[in-house]
Amino acid sequence: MMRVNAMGDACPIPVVKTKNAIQSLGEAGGMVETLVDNEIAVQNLMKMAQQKGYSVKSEKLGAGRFQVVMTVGPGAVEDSGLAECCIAPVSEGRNVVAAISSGTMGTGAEELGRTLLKGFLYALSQQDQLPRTILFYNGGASITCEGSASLEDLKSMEAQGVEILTCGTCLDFYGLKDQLRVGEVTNMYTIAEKLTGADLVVKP
Amino acid sequence: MREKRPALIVTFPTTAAAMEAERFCLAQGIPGRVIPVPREITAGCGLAWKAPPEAEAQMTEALGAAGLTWSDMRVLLV
Amino acid sequence: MEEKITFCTGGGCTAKLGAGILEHVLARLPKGPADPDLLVGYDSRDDAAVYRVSEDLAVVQTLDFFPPMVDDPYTFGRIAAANALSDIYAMGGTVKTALNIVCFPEQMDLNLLGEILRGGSEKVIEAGGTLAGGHSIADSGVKYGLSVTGLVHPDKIYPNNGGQPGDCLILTKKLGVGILCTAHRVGEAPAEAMDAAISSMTTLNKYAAGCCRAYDIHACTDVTGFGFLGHLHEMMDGRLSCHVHAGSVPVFPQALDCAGEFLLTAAGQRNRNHTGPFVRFEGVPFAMEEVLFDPQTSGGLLIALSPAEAPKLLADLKETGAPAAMVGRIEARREPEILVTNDEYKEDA
Repeated sequence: MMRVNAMGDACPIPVVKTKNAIQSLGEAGGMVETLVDNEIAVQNLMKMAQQKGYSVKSEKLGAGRFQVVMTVGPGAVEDSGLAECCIAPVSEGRNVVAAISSGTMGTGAEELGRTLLKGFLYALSQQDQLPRTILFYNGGASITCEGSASLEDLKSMEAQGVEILTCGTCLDFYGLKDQLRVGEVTNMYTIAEKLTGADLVVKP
Repeated sequence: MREKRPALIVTFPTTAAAMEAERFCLAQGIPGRVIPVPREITAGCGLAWKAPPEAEAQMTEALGAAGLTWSDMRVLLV
Repeated sequence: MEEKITFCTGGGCTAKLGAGILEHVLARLPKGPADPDLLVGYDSRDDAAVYRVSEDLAVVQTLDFFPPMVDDPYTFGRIAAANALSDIYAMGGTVKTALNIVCFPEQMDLNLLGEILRGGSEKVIEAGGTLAGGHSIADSGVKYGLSVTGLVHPDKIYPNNGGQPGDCLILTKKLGVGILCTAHRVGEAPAEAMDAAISSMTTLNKYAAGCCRAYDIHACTDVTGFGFLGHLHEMMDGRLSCHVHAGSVPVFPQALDCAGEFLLTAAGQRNRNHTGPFVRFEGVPFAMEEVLFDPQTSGGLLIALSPAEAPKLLADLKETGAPAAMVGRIEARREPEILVTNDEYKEDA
């Protein structure tokens, strides 16, 4: 069962979060439990479930604490989660951010680490669901620069809407300021905002 | 779904052999790159050399001349 | 960027207290001796208070403020002012003076406040009134609005409960701005839809009210927080019924799309809880039901007048560029109080 915590969220956020969770169930369907803190949010969730034909039940767990459980049958999830009116960015659903903090993947032999990171970025570019953002900092800054073996993979992801951001301080420190070949330069505020705003941070 | 294109995939008996082949190919200017071995070939973890499909003869000759070993060489949709 | 996020927390008329809660509290207030010159007060569910000062002059008073529903402070100021001024127009009055009501966090950039007040001031001037002062409070969140004073002839007040069986109902603005603002807040309203909603919310009801002066208006109200059906329910006054033709009700099409995606407000659901029991829908799609309950910020006028005059008023309204439409008819009391069918309004329907 998927769990959605929408305590403290104003409408329509509980519904939006629940829709995303249902979407991630995929073809197989399943159950989604949503926790909310007010009766009106329960009613709005029930309306959605009834309109969509999901079976639904709600329960008051305590003061300011309600549970809504929807059961989504197999094949009930449509391909596109959002109507055309409602924009769907690159990675709909979860906001996945990949953070590349080093020129190698994992610790151990450096040559192997470099090869693995190259392999990771290639494999990442081949996923059906691309991350929304890839951050490069410290030793990772060289990966977006001249001479990197991953430029082709990064450019292909950028062309599909993935945001590629490299730490400016790091480029400056390593003397790579003029060498950036893909994506944009960013600063620590944006890096902090992207990392804290992510649903999932991937660090290879 | 992402569109798949044919590519020549060369696999090696060991990771060390794959990395050695990579060094050699890059030094010789042989077209291609190292990628993780595609799932279609093996579920295991390994490295492969990916090159344009038409590079098969050139690869066989160059690797053979350098005395480098490889396990398999085939064209796949990746 | 950060500022904008904290600035707009989902306001406008979606922030209004539900009608249900309000009635409960108002009913218990001590009333004091009745003043015969208070022509419109709490007893009525009207938009503003009206006090007669002489045989041919009455003062119209109203007050409205709310948190931002858009990111841009200047736009927010214009919308909040247009919304507050609207109550004067809904009573048939003319705007004379206005006072600013401001809640603003001390640590926030004062330039934002300047922009809000500039937007508000422009609308007061457009209304033909004078900004005469105001009051500011340091608060955790931004809120802005106006207290407006207008004048009206005591015999020419537009009550909101003066409708008569047979009257035509005209709505002067499109519905759905509450849903669009909410969808915009979660990044799911298209920019052009938001622009259209802003243009509607910043349009003064002055022009629609101006058209009304040539006609015998039986009832008039502005559609705001309680939604179209909520204000229509108040207009029915427990003694009338009506038939609404949803196919003719002007709406923002993207609001229907977003309602279909369940981007619904808490206030909309509160409206449904409060007014729903008085309404029967026949064949009306779910998204349209939601738009009919959607709380409107600076919504249009809902007007009742005789079928003989209604087509002429409608033509006048359309001439000012308003997306006005004939949406239904008032009938004698029956069950349900409000019948909504999905067809279009037809003459003599």
